[in-house]
Amino acid sequence: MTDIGTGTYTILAQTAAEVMGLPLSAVSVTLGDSDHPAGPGSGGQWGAANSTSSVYAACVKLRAAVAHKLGLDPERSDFLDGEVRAGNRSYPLGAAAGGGELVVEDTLEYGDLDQTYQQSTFAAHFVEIAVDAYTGETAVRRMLAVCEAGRILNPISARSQVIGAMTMGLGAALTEELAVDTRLGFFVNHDLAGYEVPVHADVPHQEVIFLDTLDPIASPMKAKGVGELGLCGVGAAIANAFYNATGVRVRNYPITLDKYLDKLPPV
Amino acid sequence: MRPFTYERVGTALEAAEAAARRPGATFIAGGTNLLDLMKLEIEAPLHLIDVTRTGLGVIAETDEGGLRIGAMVSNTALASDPRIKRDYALLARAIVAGASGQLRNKATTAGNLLQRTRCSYFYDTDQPCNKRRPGSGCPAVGGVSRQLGILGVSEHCIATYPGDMAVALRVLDAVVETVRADGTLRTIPIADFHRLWGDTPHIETALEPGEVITAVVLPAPLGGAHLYHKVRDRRSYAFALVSVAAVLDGEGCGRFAVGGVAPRPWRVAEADAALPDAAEAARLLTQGARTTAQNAFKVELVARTLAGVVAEAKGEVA
Repeated sequence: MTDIGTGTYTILAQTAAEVMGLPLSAVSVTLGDSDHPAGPGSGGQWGAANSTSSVYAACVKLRAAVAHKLGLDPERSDFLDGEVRAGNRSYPLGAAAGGGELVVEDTLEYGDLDQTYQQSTFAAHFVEIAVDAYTGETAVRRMLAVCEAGRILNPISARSQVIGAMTMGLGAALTEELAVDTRLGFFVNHDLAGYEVPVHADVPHQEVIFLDTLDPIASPMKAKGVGELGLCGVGAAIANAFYNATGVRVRNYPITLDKYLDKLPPV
Repeated sequence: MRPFTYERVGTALEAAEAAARRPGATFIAGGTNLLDLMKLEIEAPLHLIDVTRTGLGVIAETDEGGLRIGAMVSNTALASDPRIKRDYALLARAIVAGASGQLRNKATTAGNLLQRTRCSYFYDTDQPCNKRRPGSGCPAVGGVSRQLGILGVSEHCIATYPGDMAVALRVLDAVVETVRADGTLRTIPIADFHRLWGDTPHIETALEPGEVITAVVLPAPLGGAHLYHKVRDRRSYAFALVSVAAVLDGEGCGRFAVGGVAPRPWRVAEADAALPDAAEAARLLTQGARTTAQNAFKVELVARTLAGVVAEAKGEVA
Protein backbone atom coordinates (compact mmCIF):
# COMPACT_ATOMS: atom_id res chain seq x y z
CA MET A 1 0.00 0.00 0.00
CA THR A 2 1.22 3.48 -0.83
CA ASP A 3 -0.11 7.02 -0.67
CA ILE A 4 -0.11 8.43 -4.19
CA GLY A 5 -1.42 11.76 -3.02
CA THR A 6 -4.88 10.57 -2.11
CA GLY A 7 -4.46 10.95 1.68
CA THR A 8 -3.92 7.31 2.62
CA TYR A 9 -1.61 8.24 5.50
CA THR A 10 -4.29 10.48 6.95
CA ILE A 11 -7.21 8.05 6.80
CA LEU A 12 -5.15 5.16 8.18
CA ALA A 13 -3.96 7.31 11.09
CA GLN A 14 -7.52 8.54 11.68
CA THR A 15 -8.82 4.98 11.79
CA ALA A 16 -6.16 3.82 14.25
CA ALA A 17 -6.53 6.92 16.42
CA GLU A 18 -10.27 6.58 16.67
CA VAL A 19 -10.29 2.87 17.47
CA MET A 20 -7.44 3.16 19.99
CA GLY A 21 -8.72 6.35 21.64
CA LEU A 22 -5.57 8.31 20.79
CA PRO A 23 -4.89 11.74 19.35
CA LEU A 24 -3.91 11.68 15.66
CA SER A 25 -0.44 12.89 16.59
CA ALA A 26 0.20 9.67 18.57
CA VAL A 27 -0.19 7.49 15.48
CA SER A 28 2.56 6.99 12.95
CA VAL A 29 1.83 5.28 9.65
CA THR A 30 4.50 3.69 7.48
CA LEU A 31 3.74 2.68 3.90
CA GLY A 32 5.54 1.50 0.83
CA ASP A 33 8.02 -0.84 2.55
CA SER A 34 8.51 -4.31 1.09
CA ASP A 35 8.82 -5.68 4.64
CA HIS A 36 5.15 -4.84 5.18
CA PRO A 37 2.45 -7.43 4.61
CA ALA A 38 0.91 -7.41 1.15
CA GLY A 39 -1.92 -4.89 0.88
CA PRO A 40 -4.49 -4.02 -1.72
CA GLY A 41 -2.49 -1.23 -3.35
CA SER A 42 -3.81 2.16 -4.30
CA GLY A 43 -5.97 1.99 -7.40
CA GLY A 44 -9.29 0.83 -8.70
CA GLN A 45 -11.08 2.07 -5.59
CA TRP A 46 -9.33 -0.65 -3.58
CA GLY A 47 -7.04 1.31 -1.34
CA ALA A 48 -9.05 3.32 1.14
CA ALA A 49 -11.82 0.90 2.08
CA ASN A 50 -9.55 -2.17 2.32
CA SER A 51 -6.60 -0.56 4.07
CA THR A 52 -8.68 1.20 6.66
CA SER A 53 -10.64 -1.99 7.28
CA SER A 54 -7.37 -3.89 7.80
CA VAL A 55 -6.19 -1.23 10.22
CA TYR A 56 -9.52 -1.46 11.97
CA ALA A 57 -9.21 -5.25 12.27
CA ALA A 58 -5.65 -4.99 13.61
CA CYS A 59 -6.70 -2.35 16.12
CA VAL A 60 -9.54 -4.52 17.43
CA LYS A 61 -6.99 -7.27 17.95
CA LEU A 62 -4.61 -4.80 19.58
CA ARG A 63 -7.32 -3.67 21.98
CA ALA A 64 -7.84 -7.29 23.03
CA ALA A 65 -4.08 -7.73 23.53
CA VAL A 66 -3.87 -4.53 25.57
CA ALA A 67 -6.82 -5.49 27.77
CA HIS A 68 -5.38 -8.93 28.31
CA LYS A 69 -2.00 -7.48 29.37
CA LEU A 70 -3.73 -5.19 31.85
CA GLY A 71 -5.93 -7.94 33.19
CA LEU A 72 -9.11 -6.38 31.84
CA ASP A 73 -12.04 -7.75 29.91
CA PRO A 74 -11.71 -6.33 26.39
CA GLU A 75 -15.49 -6.35 25.98
CA ARG A 76 -15.87 -4.07 29.00
CA SER A 77 -12.92 -1.75 28.35
CA ASP A 78 -13.14 1.75 26.93
CA PHE A 79 -10.23 3.24 24.99
CA LEU A 80 -10.44 7.00 25.46
CA ASP A 81 -8.02 9.93 25.64
CA GLY A 82 -4.96 7.69 25.64
CA GLU A 83 -6.29 5.58 28.49
CA VAL A 84 -7.89 2.19 28.95
CA ARG A 85 -10.80 2.36 31.36
CA ALA A 86 -12.83 -0.46 32.90
CA GLY A 87 -15.16 0.22 35.79
CA ASN A 88 -13.29 2.51 38.18
CA ARG A 89 -9.85 1.39 36.91
CA SER A 90 -7.87 3.35 34.41
CA TYR A 91 -4.43 2.81 32.83
CA PRO A 92 -2.40 4.76 30.33
CA LEU A 93 -2.56 2.83 27.05
CA GLY A 94 1.25 2.57 26.95
CA ALA A 95 1.32 0.71 30.26
CA ALA A 96 0.21 -2.43 28.43
CA ALA A 97 3.55 -2.56 26.62
CA GLY A 98 5.43 -2.56 29.90
CA GLY A 99 8.28 -0.51 28.48
CA GLY A 100 8.57 -2.76 25.41
CA GLU A 101 6.41 -3.34 22.38
CA LEU A 102 3.06 -4.94 21.88
CA VAL A 103 2.69 -6.08 18.31
CA VAL A 104 -0.31 -7.62 16.61
CA GLU A 105 -1.17 -8.39 13.01
CA ASP A 106 -4.48 -9.21 11.48
CA THR A 107 -5.74 -10.06 8.05
CA LEU A 108 -8.98 -9.24 6.36
CA GLU A 109 -10.40 -11.42 3.65
CA TYR A 110 -13.78 -11.14 2.05
CA GLY A 111 -14.53 -14.77 1.24
CA ASP A 112 -17.30 -15.00 -1.35
CA LEU A 113 -18.59 -11.48 -0.82
CA ASP A 114 -17.97 -10.56 -4.44
CA GLN A 115 -20.00 -13.60 -5.51
CA THR A 116 -22.97 -12.68 -3.38
CA TYR A 117 -23.11 -8.89 -3.70
CA GLN A 118 -22.48 -6.45 -6.46
CA GLN A 119 -20.52 -3.60 -4.85
CA SER A 120 -20.43 -0.30 -6.63
CA THR A 121 -20.13 3.38 -6.07
CA PHE A 122 -22.52 5.77 -7.74
CA ALA A 123 -22.23 9.34 -8.95
CA ALA A 124 -23.89 11.85 -11.21
CA HIS A 125 -21.72 14.38 -13.02
CA PHE A 126 -23.03 17.76 -14.13
CA VAL A 127 -21.11 20.03 -16.49
CA GLU A 128 -21.72 23.46 -17.96
CA ILE A 129 -19.63 24.40 -20.99
CA ALA A 130 -19.37 27.35 -23.33
CA VAL A 131 -18.45 27.12 -27.01
CA ASP A 132 -17.26 30.24 -28.81
CA ALA A 133 -19.65 30.80 -31.71
CA TYR A 134 -16.81 32.20 -33.82
CA THR A 135 -13.73 30.13 -33.08
CA GLY A 136 -15.33 26.99 -31.71
CA GLU A 137 -13.15 27.09 -28.61
CA THR A 138 -14.65 25.04 -25.80
CA ALA A 139 -14.39 25.99 -22.14
CA VAL A 140 -15.85 24.18 -19.17
CA ARG A 141 -17.48 26.67 -16.80
CA ARG A 142 -18.85 24.59 -13.92
CA MET A 143 -18.61 21.02 -12.77
CA LEU A 144 -20.52 19.20 -10.04
CA ALA A 145 -20.20 15.61 -8.89
CA VAL A 146 -22.77 14.07 -6.56
CA CYS A 147 -21.26 10.91 -5.11
CA GLU A 148 -22.32 7.90 -3.08
CA ALA A 149 -19.47 5.82 -1.70
CA GLY A 150 -20.62 4.66 1.70
CA ARG A 151 -18.85 6.25 4.66
CA ILE A 152 -16.62 9.09 3.49
CA LEU A 153 -13.51 8.48 5.57
CA ASN A 154 -12.20 12.03 5.28
CA PRO A 155 -14.44 14.58 3.54
CA ILE A 156 -11.55 16.96 2.86
CA SER A 157 -9.17 14.52 1.22
CA ALA A 158 -12.02 12.70 -0.55
CA ARG A 159 -13.23 16.00 -1.99
CA SER A 160 -9.72 16.82 -3.21
CA GLN A 161 -9.42 13.40 -4.79
CA VAL A 162 -12.72 13.74 -6.61
CA ILE A 163 -11.87 17.26 -7.82
CA GLY A 164 -8.57 15.91 -9.11
CA ALA A 165 -10.38 13.12 -10.90
CA MET A 166 -12.86 15.57 -12.43
CA THR A 167 -9.91 17.55 -13.76
CA MET A 168 -8.43 14.37 -15.17
CA GLY A 169 -11.73 13.69 -16.92
CA LEU A 170 -11.74 17.20 -18.31
CA GLY A 171 -8.32 16.63 -19.85
CA ALA A 172 -9.36 13.30 -21.30
CA ALA A 173 -12.46 14.88 -22.83
CA LEU A 174 -10.91 18.03 -24.28
CA THR A 175 -7.14 18.01 -24.66
CA GLU A 176 -5.30 14.77 -23.95
CA GLU A 177 -4.38 12.54 -26.85
CA LEU A 178 -1.36 10.39 -27.52
CA ALA A 179 -0.42 10.93 -31.15
CA VAL A 180 1.42 8.06 -32.83
CA ASP A 181 3.09 8.17 -36.22
CA THR A 182 2.41 4.58 -37.26
CA ARG A 183 4.80 4.82 -40.21
CA LEU A 184 7.74 5.48 -37.90
CA GLY A 185 6.52 3.86 -34.68
CA PHE A 186 6.99 7.31 -33.20
CA PHE A 187 5.14 8.61 -30.18
CA VAL A 188 4.90 12.14 -31.47
CA ASN A 189 3.84 14.06 -28.37
CA HIS A 190 5.91 12.12 -25.88
CA ASP A 191 6.34 14.88 -23.32
CA LEU A 192 4.20 17.34 -21.40
CA ALA A 193 4.91 20.06 -23.96
CA GLY A 194 3.00 18.14 -26.60
CA TYR A 195 0.63 16.06 -24.48
CA GLU A 196 -1.59 18.73 -23.03
CA VAL A 197 -2.98 18.10 -19.56
CA PRO A 198 -5.31 20.80 -18.21
CA VAL A 199 -3.78 23.88 -16.63
CA HIS A 200 -5.46 26.11 -14.05
CA ALA A 201 -7.01 28.27 -16.74
CA ASP A 202 -8.91 25.23 -18.04
CA VAL A 203 -10.24 24.16 -14.66
CA PRO A 204 -13.54 25.78 -13.77
CA HIS A 205 -15.55 26.08 -10.61
CA GLN A 206 -15.87 22.55 -9.24
CA GLU A 207 -18.10 21.24 -6.50
CA VAL A 208 -18.55 17.84 -4.88
CA ILE A 209 -21.47 16.57 -2.84
CA PHE A 210 -21.13 13.31 -0.93
CA LEU A 211 -24.37 11.62 0.01
CA ASP A 212 -24.51 10.74 3.69
CA THR A 213 -24.72 6.95 3.48
CA LEU A 214 -23.14 3.84 4.94
CA ASP A 215 -22.56 0.56 3.10
CA PRO A 216 -22.75 -2.14 5.78
CA ILE A 217 -21.92 -4.90 3.30
CA ALA A 218 -18.91 -3.57 1.42
CA SER A 219 -16.38 -3.40 4.25
CA PRO A 220 -16.16 -3.27 8.04
CA MET A 221 -15.64 0.50 7.72
CA LYS A 222 -18.90 0.67 5.71
CA ALA A 223 -16.87 2.64 3.20
CA LYS A 224 -16.03 2.30 -0.49
CA GLY A 225 -13.33 3.94 -2.60
CA VAL A 226 -13.81 7.19 -4.49
CA GLY A 227 -10.99 7.19 -7.09
CA GLU A 228 -12.77 6.29 -10.31
CA LEU A 229 -15.97 7.80 -9.01
CA GLY A 230 -14.78 11.32 -9.76
CA LEU A 231 -13.46 10.38 -13.19
CA CYS A 232 -15.89 8.02 -14.86
CA GLY A 233 -18.75 9.99 -16.33
CA VAL A 234 -16.95 13.32 -16.68
CA GLY A 235 -16.06 12.74 -20.32
CA ALA A 236 -19.62 11.73 -21.15
CA ALA A 237 -21.02 14.73 -19.30
CA ILE A 238 -18.73 17.08 -21.24
CA ALA A 239 -19.57 15.44 -24.56
CA ASN A 240 -23.30 15.69 -23.77
CA ALA A 241 -22.97 19.32 -22.73
CA PHE A 242 -21.06 20.03 -25.92
CA TYR A 243 -23.85 18.42 -27.93
CA ASN A 244 -26.39 20.42 -25.97
CA ALA A 245 -24.52 23.64 -26.76
CA THR A 246 -23.81 23.02 -30.44
CA GLY A 247 -26.04 20.25 -31.75
CA VAL A 248 -22.86 18.45 -32.84
CA ARG A 249 -22.01 14.96 -31.65
CA VAL A 250 -18.29 14.27 -31.43
CA ARG A 251 -17.76 10.54 -31.04
CA ASN A 252 -14.05 10.35 -30.35
CA TYR A 253 -12.07 12.01 -27.61
CA PRO A 254 -10.54 14.46 -27.19
CA ILE A 255 -13.21 16.86 -28.43
CA THR A 256 -10.88 19.26 -30.27
CA LEU A 257 -12.11 21.91 -32.63
CA ASP A 258 -10.64 20.33 -35.76
CA LYS A 259 -13.26 17.59 -35.33
CA TYR A 260 -16.30 19.85 -35.32
CA LEU A 261 -15.39 23.30 -36.67
CA ASP A 262 -16.94 22.60 -40.09
CA LYS A 263 -20.19 21.46 -38.45
CA LEU A 264 -20.82 24.63 -36.47
CA PRO A 265 -23.25 27.23 -37.79
CA PRO A 266 -21.52 29.74 -40.09
CA VAL A 267 -20.59 33.15 -38.69
CA MET B 1 24.10 17.90 -23.11
CA ARG B 2 27.47 18.33 -24.85
CA PRO B 3 30.33 20.24 -23.20
CA PHE B 4 30.71 23.88 -24.18
CA THR B 5 32.73 26.91 -23.20
CA TYR B 6 31.24 30.18 -22.06
CA GLU B 7 32.04 33.86 -22.08
CA ARG B 8 30.20 37.01 -21.16
CA VAL B 9 30.51 40.14 -23.29
CA GLY B 10 29.79 43.78 -22.46
CA THR B 11 28.43 45.14 -25.76
CA ALA B 12 26.58 43.86 -28.80
CA LEU B 13 29.61 44.60 -31.00
CA GLU B 14 31.81 42.52 -28.68
CA ALA B 15 29.27 39.72 -29.02
CA ALA B 16 29.48 39.85 -32.82
CA GLU B 17 33.29 39.96 -32.68
CA ALA B 18 33.39 37.01 -30.28
CA ALA B 19 31.14 35.02 -32.60
CA ALA B 20 33.40 35.80 -35.55
CA ARG B 21 36.39 34.48 -33.57
CA ARG B 22 34.69 31.26 -32.47
CA PRO B 23 33.06 29.02 -35.08
CA GLY B 24 30.28 26.96 -33.54
CA ALA B 25 29.39 29.71 -31.05
CA THR B 26 25.81 30.62 -30.13
CA PHE B 27 24.46 33.63 -28.24
CA ILE B 28 22.57 33.01 -25.05
CA ALA B 29 20.23 35.43 -23.29
CA GLY B 30 17.26 34.06 -21.31
CA GLY B 31 18.00 30.58 -22.59
CA THR B 32 14.34 29.58 -22.34
CA ASN B 33 14.47 27.84 -25.71
CA LEU B 34 18.20 27.24 -26.19
CA LEU B 35 18.75 25.25 -23.00
CA ASP B 36 15.94 22.84 -23.91
CA LEU B 37 17.43 22.42 -27.37
CA MET B 38 20.89 21.82 -25.91
CA LYS B 39 19.63 19.25 -23.41
CA LEU B 40 17.97 17.37 -26.26
CA GLU B 41 21.15 17.85 -28.36
CA ILE B 42 19.12 19.44 -31.13
CA GLU B 43 21.62 22.25 -30.78
CA ALA B 44 25.14 21.51 -29.62
CA PRO B 45 27.07 24.80 -29.59
CA LEU B 46 30.76 24.58 -28.76
CA HIS B 47 30.76 28.02 -27.18
CA LEU B 48 28.12 30.23 -25.57
CA ILE B 49 28.36 34.01 -25.69
CA ASP B 50 26.27 35.52 -22.91
CA VAL B 51 24.69 38.75 -24.17
CA THR B 52 22.59 39.55 -21.11
CA ARG B 53 25.02 42.26 -19.83
CA THR B 54 25.19 44.25 -23.06
CA GLY B 55 23.22 47.21 -21.73
CA LEU B 56 20.34 46.58 -24.13
CA GLY B 57 17.61 46.33 -21.50
CA VAL B 58 16.10 49.77 -22.09
CA ILE B 59 12.96 50.99 -23.87
CA ALA B 60 13.58 54.48 -25.29
CA GLU B 61 11.44 56.91 -27.23
CA THR B 62 12.49 57.57 -30.84
CA ASP B 63 12.53 60.89 -32.71
CA GLU B 64 9.78 59.50 -34.94
CA GLY B 65 7.39 59.13 -32.02
CA GLY B 66 7.89 55.41 -31.64
CA LEU B 67 9.80 53.21 -29.21
CA ARG B 68 13.16 51.47 -29.46
CA ILE B 69 12.99 48.23 -27.47
CA GLY B 70 16.40 46.98 -26.42
CA ALA B 71 17.15 43.41 -27.43
CA MET B 72 17.52 42.32 -23.80
CA VAL B 73 14.23 43.78 -22.52
CA SER B 74 12.41 40.85 -20.95
CA ASN B 75 8.99 39.83 -22.18
CA THR B 76 7.59 40.72 -18.76
CA ALA B 77 9.18 44.17 -18.72
CA LEU B 78 7.97 44.84 -22.26
CA ALA B 79 4.39 43.71 -21.69
CA SER B 80 4.12 45.72 -18.47
CA ASP B 81 5.73 48.94 -19.72
CA PRO B 82 3.11 51.73 -19.40
CA ARG B 83 3.92 53.13 -22.87
CA ILE B 84 3.50 49.72 -24.44
CA LYS B 85 0.26 49.07 -22.58
CA ARG B 86 -1.11 52.48 -23.57
CA ASP B 87 0.05 52.81 -27.19
CA TYR B 88 0.87 49.27 -28.31
CA ALA B 89 -1.61 47.16 -26.34
CA LEU B 90 -1.55 44.61 -29.15
CA LEU B 91 2.05 43.82 -28.30
CA ALA B 92 1.38 43.48 -24.57
CA ARG B 93 -1.61 41.21 -25.24
CA ALA B 94 0.31 38.99 -27.62
CA ILE B 95 3.19 38.59 -25.18
CA VAL B 96 1.04 37.63 -22.20
CA ALA B 97 -0.79 35.10 -24.38
CA GLY B 98 2.45 33.12 -24.61
CA ALA B 99 4.50 30.88 -22.33
CA SER B 100 4.19 31.37 -18.56
CA GLY B 101 5.02 34.16 -16.13
CA GLN B 102 8.27 32.47 -15.17
CA LEU B 103 9.38 32.06 -18.78
CA ARG B 104 8.42 35.62 -19.69
CA ASN B 105 10.56 36.89 -16.82
CA LYS B 106 13.61 35.27 -18.41
CA ALA B 107 12.78 35.49 -22.12
CA THR B 108 14.10 38.48 -24.05
CA THR B 109 12.80 40.49 -26.99
CA ALA B 110 15.54 39.29 -29.36
CA GLY B 111 15.43 35.73 -28.07
CA ASN B 112 11.68 35.56 -28.59
CA LEU B 113 12.15 36.43 -32.27
CA LEU B 114 14.66 33.60 -32.54
CA GLN B 115 12.71 30.86 -30.81
CA ARG B 116 12.64 27.79 -32.96
CA THR B 117 9.72 25.77 -34.21
CA ARG B 118 7.93 23.32 -31.93
CA CYS B 119 7.42 20.67 -34.63
CA SER B 120 7.58 17.32 -32.81
CA TYR B 121 9.71 15.76 -35.53
CA PHE B 122 12.24 18.59 -35.19
CA TYR B 123 12.29 17.96 -31.45
CA ASP B 124 13.22 14.27 -31.64
CA THR B 125 16.75 13.58 -32.84
CA ASP B 126 15.82 10.01 -33.80
CA GLN B 127 13.53 11.32 -36.54
CA PRO B 128 14.51 12.71 -39.92
CA CYS B 129 14.13 16.49 -40.22
CA ASN B 130 15.36 18.77 -42.97
CA LYS B 131 15.67 21.60 -40.48
CA ARG B 132 17.86 19.59 -38.11
CA ARG B 133 19.65 17.39 -40.66
CA PRO B 134 19.37 19.00 -44.09
CA GLY B 135 18.44 16.46 -46.74
CA SER B 136 17.15 13.82 -44.30
CA GLY B 137 13.51 14.39 -45.25
CA CYS B 138 10.37 15.73 -43.61
CA PRO B 139 8.20 13.07 -41.92
CA ALA B 140 5.76 15.77 -40.77
CA VAL B 141 4.41 15.89 -44.31
CA GLY B 142 2.00 12.95 -44.23
CA GLY B 143 2.61 12.53 -40.51
CA VAL B 144 1.16 14.07 -37.38
CA SER B 145 0.72 17.60 -38.66
CA ARG B 146 -2.32 19.02 -36.91
CA GLN B 147 -0.30 21.83 -35.32
CA LEU B 148 1.83 22.59 -38.38
CA GLY B 149 1.91 25.16 -41.15
CA ILE B 150 -0.39 25.78 -44.11
CA LEU B 151 1.17 28.90 -45.63
CA GLY B 152 4.71 29.62 -46.81
CA VAL B 153 5.60 25.98 -46.28
CA SER B 154 7.29 23.65 -48.75
CA GLU B 155 7.69 19.97 -49.44
CA HIS B 156 10.88 20.18 -47.38
CA CYS B 157 9.36 21.61 -44.22
CA ILE B 158 5.91 22.49 -42.87
CA ALA B 159 6.99 23.82 -39.50
CA THR B 160 5.65 27.09 -38.11
CA TYR B 161 7.18 30.00 -36.32
CA PRO B 162 5.47 29.33 -32.99
CA GLY B 163 5.60 32.67 -31.18
CA ASP B 164 3.03 35.32 -30.33
CA MET B 165 5.09 38.51 -29.93
CA ALA B 166 6.25 38.63 -33.54
CA VAL B 167 2.67 38.39 -34.83
CA ALA B 168 1.92 41.67 -33.07
CA LEU B 169 5.21 43.17 -34.30
CA ARG B 170 4.20 42.27 -37.86
CA VAL B 171 0.97 44.23 -37.55
CA LEU B 172 2.85 47.13 -36.00
CA ASP B 173 5.45 47.12 -38.83
CA ALA B 174 8.36 46.84 -36.41
CA VAL B 175 11.97 46.94 -37.59
CA VAL B 176 14.82 44.80 -36.25
CA GLU B 177 18.18 46.54 -35.72
CA THR B 178 21.44 44.59 -35.76
CA VAL B 179 25.19 44.93 -35.63
CA ARG B 180 27.79 42.81 -37.39
CA ALA B 181 31.34 41.95 -36.42
CA ASP B 182 32.77 44.59 -38.76
CA GLY B 183 30.78 47.20 -36.86
CA THR B 184 28.21 47.81 -39.60
CA LEU B 185 24.60 48.34 -38.56
CA ARG B 186 21.57 46.98 -40.39
CA THR B 187 17.81 47.26 -40.17
CA ILE B 188 15.54 44.40 -41.17
CA PRO B 189 11.77 44.92 -41.48
CA ILE B 190 9.94 42.32 -39.40
CA ALA B 191 8.21 41.20 -42.60
CA ASP B 192 11.56 39.97 -43.93
CA PHE B 193 13.08 38.75 -40.68
CA HIS B 194 11.79 35.15 -40.73
CA ARG B 195 12.52 33.31 -43.95
CA LEU B 196 10.18 30.99 -45.77
CA TRP B 197 11.51 27.44 -45.69
CA GLY B 198 11.85 26.71 -49.41
CA ASP B 199 14.57 24.08 -49.80
CA THR B 200 16.69 25.46 -46.94
CA PRO B 201 14.50 25.10 -43.86
CA HIS B 202 17.59 25.03 -41.64
CA ILE B 203 18.11 28.73 -42.40
CA GLU B 204 15.37 30.40 -40.40
CA THR B 205 16.05 34.14 -40.32
CA ALA B 206 17.63 36.90 -42.35
CA LEU B 207 20.44 37.23 -39.81
CA GLU B 208 23.93 36.48 -41.05
CA PRO B 209 26.11 34.19 -38.96
CA GLY B 210 27.30 36.11 -35.92
CA GLU B 211 25.00 39.09 -36.51
CA VAL B 212 23.55 40.43 -33.25
CA ILE B 213 20.08 41.91 -32.71
CA THR B 214 20.38 45.16 -30.76
CA ALA B 215 16.81 46.48 -30.78
CA VAL B 216 13.30 46.24 -32.16
CA VAL B 217 11.90 49.60 -33.22
CA LEU B 218 8.20 50.37 -33.19
CA PRO B 219 6.91 53.18 -35.44
CA ALA B 220 4.55 55.79 -34.01
CA PRO B 221 1.44 54.27 -32.42
CA LEU B 222 -1.61 53.16 -34.38
CA GLY B 223 -4.97 54.24 -33.02
CA GLY B 224 -7.86 51.83 -32.89
CA ALA B 225 -8.73 48.61 -31.13
CA HIS B 226 -5.71 46.43 -30.43
CA LEU B 227 -6.90 42.82 -30.43
CA TYR B 228 -5.06 39.53 -30.09
CA HIS B 229 -7.01 36.29 -30.20
CA LYS B 230 -5.03 33.11 -29.74
CA VAL B 231 -6.85 29.84 -30.36
CA ARG B 232 -5.31 26.80 -28.74
CA ASP B 233 -6.33 23.45 -27.33
CA ARG B 234 -5.94 24.52 -23.73
CA ARG B 235 -6.35 27.96 -22.31
CA SER B 236 -2.82 28.65 -21.14
CA TYR B 237 0.72 27.45 -21.82
CA ALA B 238 0.06 26.10 -25.29
CA PHE B 239 1.14 27.19 -28.75
CA ALA B 240 -1.41 28.67 -31.09
CA LEU B 241 -3.35 26.60 -33.54
CA VAL B 242 -4.15 29.97 -35.05
CA SER B 243 -3.73 33.45 -33.64
CA VAL B 244 -5.01 36.72 -35.05
CA ALA B 245 -3.40 40.05 -34.20
CA ALA B 246 -5.30 43.10 -35.42
CA VAL B 247 -5.50 46.85 -35.09
CA LEU B 248 -8.95 47.87 -36.27
CA ASP B 249 -11.20 50.91 -36.23
CA GLY B 250 -14.83 50.84 -35.14
CA GLU B 251 -15.92 49.80 -38.63
CA GLY B 252 -13.64 46.77 -38.58
CA CYS B 253 -11.15 48.27 -41.02
CA GLY B 254 -7.42 48.20 -40.39
CA ARG B 255 -4.72 45.56 -40.51
CA PHE B 256 -4.11 42.07 -39.23
CA ALA B 257 -1.60 39.26 -39.18
CA VAL B 258 -2.02 35.57 -38.40
CA GLY B 259 0.24 33.34 -36.30
CA GLY B 260 0.53 29.57 -35.98
CA VAL B 261 0.14 28.96 -39.71
CA ALA B 262 3.46 29.75 -41.38
CA PRO B 263 7.23 30.12 -40.98
CA ARG B 264 6.59 33.76 -40.15
CA PRO B 265 3.66 35.87 -38.93
CA TRP B 266 1.46 35.95 -42.03
CA ARG B 267 0.18 39.25 -43.34
CA VAL B 268 -1.16 40.08 -46.80
CA ALA B 269 -1.76 43.67 -47.96
CA GLU B 270 -4.78 42.70 -50.09
CA ALA B 271 -6.32 40.98 -47.11
CA ASP B 272 -5.92 44.11 -44.98
CA ALA B 273 -7.62 46.09 -47.76
CA ALA B 274 -10.59 43.69 -47.85
CA LEU B 275 -11.53 44.48 -44.25
CA PRO B 276 -14.12 44.73 -42.75
CA ASP B 277 -15.24 41.77 -44.90
CA ALA B 278 -13.64 39.12 -42.69
CA ALA B 279 -14.53 36.21 -44.94
CA GLU B 280 -12.96 37.85 -47.98
CA ALA B 281 -9.95 39.04 -45.99
CA ALA B 282 -9.38 35.53 -44.66
CA ARG B 283 -9.81 34.07 -48.14
CA LEU B 284 -7.15 36.40 -49.50
CA LEU B 285 -4.83 35.75 -46.57
CA THR B 286 -5.03 31.96 -46.87
CA GLN B 287 -4.95 31.88 -50.67
CA GLY B 288 -2.58 29.18 -51.89
CA ALA B 289 -2.65 27.33 -48.58
CA ARG B 290 -0.85 24.01 -48.72
CA THR B 291 -2.67 21.87 -46.16
CA THR B 292 -2.53 18.32 -44.88
CA ALA B 293 -5.57 16.24 -43.93
CA GLN B 294 -4.84 17.03 -40.29
CA ASN B 295 -4.30 20.78 -40.50
CA ALA B 296 -6.76 21.77 -43.23
CA PHE B 297 -9.12 23.00 -40.50
CA LYS B 298 -6.79 25.93 -39.92
CA VAL B 299 -8.09 27.63 -43.08
CA GLU B 300 -11.58 27.84 -41.63
CA LEU B 301 -10.23 28.59 -38.17
CA VAL B 302 -8.43 31.66 -39.54
CA ALA B 303 -11.68 32.87 -41.11
CA ARG B 304 -13.73 32.29 -37.98
CA THR B 305 -11.18 33.81 -35.63
CA LEU B 306 -10.83 36.88 -37.84
CA ALA B 307 -14.62 37.20 -37.99
CA GLY B 308 -14.73 37.18 -34.20
CA VAL B 309 -11.99 39.80 -33.95
CA VAL B 310 -13.72 42.08 -36.48
CA ALA B 311 -17.02 41.68 -34.63
CA GLU B 312 -15.27 42.62 -31.40
CA ALA B 313 -13.80 45.76 -32.95
CA LYS B 314 -17.25 46.73 -34.17
CA GLY B 315 -18.67 46.22 -30.70
CA GLU B 316 -20.88 43.35 -31.80
CA VAL B 317 -19.44 40.94 -29.24
CA ALA B 318 -17.74 41.44 -25.93
